[in-house]
Amino acid sequence: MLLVASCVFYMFFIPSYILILLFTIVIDYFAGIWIENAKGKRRKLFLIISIIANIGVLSVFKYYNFFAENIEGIAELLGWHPNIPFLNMILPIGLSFHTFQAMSYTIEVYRGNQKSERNILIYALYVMFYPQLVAGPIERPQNLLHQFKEDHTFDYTRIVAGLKLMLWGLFKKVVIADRCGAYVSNVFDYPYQHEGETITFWCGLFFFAWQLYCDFSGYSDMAIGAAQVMGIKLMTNFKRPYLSKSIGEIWQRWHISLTSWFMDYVFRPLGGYRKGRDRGAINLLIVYFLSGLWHGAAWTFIICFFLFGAQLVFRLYFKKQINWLFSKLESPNSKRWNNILHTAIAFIMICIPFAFFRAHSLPDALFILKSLFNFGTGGLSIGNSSTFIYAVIGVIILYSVEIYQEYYSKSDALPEPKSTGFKFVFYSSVIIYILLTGVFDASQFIYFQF
Amino acid sequence: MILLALLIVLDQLVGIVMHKLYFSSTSGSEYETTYAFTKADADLIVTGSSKARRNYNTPLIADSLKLSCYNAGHDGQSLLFSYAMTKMLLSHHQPKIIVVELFPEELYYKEVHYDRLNILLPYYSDYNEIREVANWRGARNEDTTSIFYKLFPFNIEKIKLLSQSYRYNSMWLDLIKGLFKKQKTESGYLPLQKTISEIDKQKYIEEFELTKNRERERHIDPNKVKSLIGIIESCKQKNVKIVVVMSPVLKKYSDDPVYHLIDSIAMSYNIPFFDFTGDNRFNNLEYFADNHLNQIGSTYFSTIFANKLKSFLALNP
Repeated sequence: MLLVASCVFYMFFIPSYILILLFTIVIDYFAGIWIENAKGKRRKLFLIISIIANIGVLSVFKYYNFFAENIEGIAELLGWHPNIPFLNMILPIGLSFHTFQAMSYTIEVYRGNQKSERNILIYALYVMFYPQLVAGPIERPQNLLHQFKEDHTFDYTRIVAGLKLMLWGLFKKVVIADRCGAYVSNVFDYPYQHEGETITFWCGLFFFAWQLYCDFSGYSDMAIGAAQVMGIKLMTNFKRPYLSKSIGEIWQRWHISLTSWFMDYVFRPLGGYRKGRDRGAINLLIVYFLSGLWHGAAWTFIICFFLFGAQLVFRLYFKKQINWLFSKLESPNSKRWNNILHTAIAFIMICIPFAFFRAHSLPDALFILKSLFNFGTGGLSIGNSSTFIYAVIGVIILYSVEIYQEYYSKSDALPEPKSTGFKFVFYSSVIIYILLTGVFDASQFIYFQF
Repeated sequence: MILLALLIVLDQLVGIVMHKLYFSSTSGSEYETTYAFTKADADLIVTGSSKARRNYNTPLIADSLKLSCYNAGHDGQSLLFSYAMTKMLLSHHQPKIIVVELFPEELYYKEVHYDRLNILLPYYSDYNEIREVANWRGARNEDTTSIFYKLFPFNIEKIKLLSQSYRYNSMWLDLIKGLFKKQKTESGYLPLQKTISEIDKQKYIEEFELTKNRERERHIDPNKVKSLIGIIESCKQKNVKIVVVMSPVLKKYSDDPVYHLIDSIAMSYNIPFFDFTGDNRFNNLEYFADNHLNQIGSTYFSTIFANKLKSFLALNP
């Protein structure tokens, strides 16, 4: 039943694209069995076949035009004029997500951490489970596969918890992300009209950081909540990253399923930090370069994530100096001030490369970056003041909830009244606030494109 | 069940409060929309977007033509709004003439023009005239490729409109601000004061070209064509004269196919089409604030326009 629903859901987009999904499902299903049954080098051979099939599909649909364009550009520079054909295709929805999830299956079978799945329908559901099919979390077979074989009884508490998570996800998406998005569009779609407005660019960047987080974590919450309603527990994908006290911590809390995927299947196999600091730095840069490429076939994404990697490498080499600098700014008596200081600096550092993520082109991104540090000018244009205020209210609510979760309740539960009667009033009011303040028009999820 | 019941009650209560706040406002955008929809009784009404609101000096036009004039242009709106506006207006009043201000690229599909039709929603239950246009929000043509449209292949706007609170979506802050702010224009005309520089003009044009190239919204919107024809036919039925006007812009785009479509529609209904977009008299930055005229420019334009209209009315009494 869940598999049928997942197929129908996927076919809402472009029905014929389900054949691509079926192609990789069949290959990975048999690859899993063959890896388990084979011995010696043949095991590796089947794993390589599976990886080539998955990466091949990803390369054709997502990266072919990007590479063709760049090869053509380089050739033009050298005076050649190759006529490389371009593909005119729409990227299958969520391709990067389910490809990575499929790869984690064959890798885990190869490593002996997961038995191969003999029921192809269960395996197909593992790849296609609709709440997380288009934008994750990117699950691991050890966590997900066995759950499809278990009975899921009606559990009122679990269902209510799932619905609450979905509601919070919806709130983050329509009340915060899309509202911030209106301001962000005003800045990033028309950057040259804001020349000289340094504060506008900083605001645009901060709002984009909140938009991206609330958009993506909002979808993750809805996916995790929907799965929870059905009795399936998906992994946590975000853990209040903007309350982190360092950029390294942010990446441990941001898109956890992707970060851990790269750590498990790329960073550690490359040697991680085991082979010394220099090799660790190179490994980090490789991981963040690939992460950028995963996000999109464009130099803006690659540069954005390369900069994130560079920040971590910088921290790796200059940890002592950074700590010394912080010690000069920290207060010996106020832990709260120190927390705020570290959190704010980590947030600002992570925001700067986002200019590349959101900008339409490299020249736009460079212009925005230059404008951010043009301190002589200043200037803030808030556009539609109501949109700006709605967004600010949304961000205040976001931080209030997350600070409560992080420092007071020490759990992921939403702050809510204790009495049942007040709980009903509270959740009705949240829904009414969404109806009154949410953005309901034309809002796709940013991460659906990946 | 308890939650659902409570939600319905709360939604109704909030809807009543917002309705009260909305329709009792005495200034601001909400008041002006209500006034234009239900009370405007001038002889000449200008409809359109911010270009109408900023470019038509209605007191000057009124003086020149010896007719009462009201500028019902609304910032951020499009022909879709003008259609709803005309239907509402003609339901309670028969003006002598309606001026439909159009942007040269008006007939292209633009997602945001549907989003902004949310200003019609407070009138949804009380006024049948605006329902057709308001329902277009949920049946916009571009959406057919989206996963949400395919998940819900029906007019989702009608479902959203079951909620009373939703009808006032994104308005509560403006309504509260309206209690304290007294922005009111008797004529609807709201001129811009600044003057564009040559650098800003070039930047504006470059930016426009860039967004034009990356926009995927470059197809003719059948609802906008329907709106233009609807406005013309409604006016003809009620014996109201109508003129289609394009006021001056920073750069003329008359080679665009939509421009010719507007021209041919006007011609087929024998409607005058006054195009000032390529008028050399406005080849002067002193007249522009951005792509809108400023106060000097709008006054100059309104003088020329009033004279042209006077000649037209003399020939077509």
